[in-house]
Amino acid sequence: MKALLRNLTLAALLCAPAVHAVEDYTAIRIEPERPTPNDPIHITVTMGAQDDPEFHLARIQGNRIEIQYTTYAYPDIPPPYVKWTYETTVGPLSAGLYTVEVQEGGYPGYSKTFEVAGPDPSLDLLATDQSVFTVTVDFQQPGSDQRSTAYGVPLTRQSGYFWFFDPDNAELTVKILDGRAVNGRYWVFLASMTDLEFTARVTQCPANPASDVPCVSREYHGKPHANANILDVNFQGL
Amino acid sequence: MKNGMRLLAIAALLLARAAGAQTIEGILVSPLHPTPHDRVALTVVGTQSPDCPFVWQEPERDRVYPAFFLTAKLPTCSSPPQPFRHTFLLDPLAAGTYYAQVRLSNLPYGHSFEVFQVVEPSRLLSLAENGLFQVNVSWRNPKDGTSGAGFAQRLADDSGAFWFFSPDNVEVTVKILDGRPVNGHRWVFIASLTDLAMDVTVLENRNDCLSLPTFPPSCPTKIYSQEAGKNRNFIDVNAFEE
Repeated sequence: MKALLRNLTLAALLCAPAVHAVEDYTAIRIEPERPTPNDPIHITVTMGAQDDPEFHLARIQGNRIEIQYTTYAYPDIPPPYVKWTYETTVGPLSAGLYTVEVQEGGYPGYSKTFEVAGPDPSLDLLATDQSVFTVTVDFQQPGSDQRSTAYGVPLTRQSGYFWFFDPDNAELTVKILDGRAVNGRYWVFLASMTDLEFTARVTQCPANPASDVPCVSREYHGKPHANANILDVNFQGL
Repeated sequence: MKNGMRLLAIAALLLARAAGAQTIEGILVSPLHPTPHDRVALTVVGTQSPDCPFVWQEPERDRVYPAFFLTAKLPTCSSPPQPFRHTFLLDPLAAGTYYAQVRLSNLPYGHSFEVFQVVEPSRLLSLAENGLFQVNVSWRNPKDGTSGAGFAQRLADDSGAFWFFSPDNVEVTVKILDGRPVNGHRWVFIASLTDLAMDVTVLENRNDCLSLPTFPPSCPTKIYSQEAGKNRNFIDVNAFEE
């Protein structure tokens, strides 16, 4: 058993990617950056090598997308290395976590993990005390009485945006700042790029879900046929 | 020799599977395009038994290579696994390419290296129709005389945002839609979350005019100005006629 472990350690060391050889060029890009189960996923792999790495898509196994390459090292030829690019398209893929793994000769090399997720009807923003603000938005469909749910996309820990009809078309941006040092309140900003009527709900819950402290919530309304921002510097948090 | 290594690697992978339901799927990096102003969040995703979760050490940075090691002991219990996420927040990093690797202290190998880039923030936002439009924002604070240019964050193909002081604090959002089927124009939407004075400049790189040796560029340009002390949005459905 000990010998096996020693061999495994050796194998791991030998299989370790040559980080120093590729670090200037190594990248894996996923398009779209936030794929949904409807999107084909375009993968671009770049790396530095002395010779053509001869990339090829090896297989898709479960949630692993394996891309293999072969390089030929010429010890007598010093860097710089040439940048090589490989592109392929997979999917659409069902919701879940996936890893693109770039392997040399079948051994694990470098990778990129990404998430395929359906539209999220809520947006979670973090307060400085790690409590969570959950924001939801619904809007009036133009020319009908129906209300629809807007979908949230995180931008930073404290901000994000909602889209109504098309993920490329942001309609409402939200940020929540901790203004307690100034006036004892949180500051909620809603920047609107729509003239549809909408309702946004901001709810803050304790960081510890087991806490007895109830969540606090406030609603904000955007009027129909008007475009206006909402700036609330009096959100009474927990 | 190579066949032997291959067998050992396969054995290692089989051992990982046999170790039970505890698995490491990978590492998610957030934000998607970190800059040297951001704290990078590395989130390890996988499955673990709630009875004996992974016990993580503080991230360790390699002394030579731009690599971080996230180390935990692989727990051994057989109760049903559940998905888990464990996030490490790194201090801001200089621009460059970085790697992160999960290592399980009681297994003699690591997972593949997650690669991510930290890039200098751009003051220019390319939007819509394969980046046909270039947007920048300049701001002024007449109270203290300071001024600067906003840093761009891309939201989607048609939408972007700018921050002035902190990447967590978005100040302006911009989107450009193709309204030509409706009225022959592009539509520019600007939503302001600031009361500083600012100019939002939108330039159309028509016929690749930016490549011409003229300064300022001879490109169709529109400037939207907000006065200090005001907070106003712009909806211009008559911009950039075809």
